[in-house]
Amino acid sequence: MNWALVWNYLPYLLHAAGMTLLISAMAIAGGTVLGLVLALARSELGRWAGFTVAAYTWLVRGTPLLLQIFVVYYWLPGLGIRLAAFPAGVMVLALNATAYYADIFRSALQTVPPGQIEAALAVGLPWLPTMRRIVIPQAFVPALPPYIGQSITVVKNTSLVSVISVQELMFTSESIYSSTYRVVETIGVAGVLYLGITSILQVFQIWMEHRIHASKTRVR
Amino acid sequence: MTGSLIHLHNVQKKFGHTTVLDGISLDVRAGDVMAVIGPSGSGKSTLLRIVNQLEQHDAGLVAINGEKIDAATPRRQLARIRTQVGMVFQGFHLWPNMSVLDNITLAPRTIRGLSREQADAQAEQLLARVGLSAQRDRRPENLSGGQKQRVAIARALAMEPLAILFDEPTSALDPHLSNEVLEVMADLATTAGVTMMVVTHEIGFARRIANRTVYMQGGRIVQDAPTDTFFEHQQDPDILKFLSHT
Ligand SMILES: Nc1ncnc2c1ncn2[C@@H]1O[C@H](COP(=O)(O)OP(=O)(O)OP(=O)(O)O)[C@@H](O)[C@H]1O
Ligand SMILES: [Mg+2]
Repeated sequence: MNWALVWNYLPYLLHAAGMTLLISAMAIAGGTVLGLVLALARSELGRWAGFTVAAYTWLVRGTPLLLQIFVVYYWLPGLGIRLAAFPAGVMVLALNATAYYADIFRSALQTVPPGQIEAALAVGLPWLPTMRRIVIPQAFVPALPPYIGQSITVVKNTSLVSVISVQELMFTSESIYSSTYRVVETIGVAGVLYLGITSILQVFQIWMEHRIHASKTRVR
Repeated sequence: MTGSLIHLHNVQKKFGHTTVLDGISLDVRAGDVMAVIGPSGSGKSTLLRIVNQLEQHDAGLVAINGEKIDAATPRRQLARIRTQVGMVFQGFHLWPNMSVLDNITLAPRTIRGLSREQADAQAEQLLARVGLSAQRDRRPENLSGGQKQRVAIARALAMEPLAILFDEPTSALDPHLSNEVLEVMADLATTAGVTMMVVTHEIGFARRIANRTVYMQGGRIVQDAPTDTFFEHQQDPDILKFLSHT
């Protein structure tokens, strides 16, 4: 083991971890917004919207992410859409996560009893405030654990965009160990850094669950 | 139909192949307290749900304060009309993610554009009226069933509707808790003159507060009469049998 050598490369690895964090945050944010839109479209817009969303989910979940990355990076230019590696990588990760998030949100929205929505309709509340103030807050609790789980997957999936040379943590680790031949040490440090990033999400989940629990038991 | 707040003419409703409402016609005028009674499955809930279009009718006419509503009514217009008809459900359906006060003020703030102060002040008056001033900051889950239903009544009143629909408001409650809800309803009917349609199994209560009683069976209105006549001069053998069983 030669940890001293890896120590010299630590700044590069930290910088690359920052890239991984950035890519993850963008993919999670994009996937969350699009996933919520698709979940609502599926439940609100009738048959064809529902069918389209279901088809999208089927396609994205049924093919490997690696293949999707290649499709976007090598096929789209043929259609005249040329994207740099970084935006292409973020886009694929977000669009991939969208399919999973949409399903998570859809099943969480279905846990809200119909009577909740009927009570809102009955007082004449329009759709948007009904969703924003009543349905989504109640769907939040059941959505949280699978949502965090999927977000952790997104973080780990960012390692795959190394194949199109996005300079994130995995790509940088590979280039370090291919010049230093210190595979174990380099990969070990990268693993710790991945764990650091995914831990943020797990801590967030624990913190939210505490908050939810506290607000439930609070008797004012 | 002039002067009726709620007007139904020959309303039909099917679920699949079962006819649930088979030609319902009725009028509720301002100040009316209409009790709707009848055996289980006779279509009472469906009737109320069609009045504020939680269910769409297949044929016939439904008009609220002169405005026709049906499956083709645009969402926004429907929402506006629904603000004129409150609804109180058997299962309360309070929103658990907000306080009692917010349950009452959400719609007035969102729809009528009241400020938080105005809406809170109005909600506090309503809470006082249903006897729950001390519960304003509680979450619904920390209330008894009777308290929940009184909050639901205050929530319906907050939109200052022309009429309120009650679907078996006390049948999920223990008898001693039903009474506190029935008292609030009686107060609204007699002292405040709130127009109501009340589906209920509490025959004594119907008799006490309703000025009209409608008896439904098999999706039809078998009788629609002033409450006194209905109970004191009842001749229909089916209705007499129903009354003797409850
Ligand atoms: N959403 C639905 N889908 C299919 N059938 C339904 C639906 N809602 C009600 N029904 C049927 O319609 C009929 C009338 O139901 P409704 O709930 O209006 O009766 P009700 O008079 O309110 O009965 P109860 O006193 O038991 O509440 C019943 O046979 C019921 O099974
Ligand atoms: Mg019913």
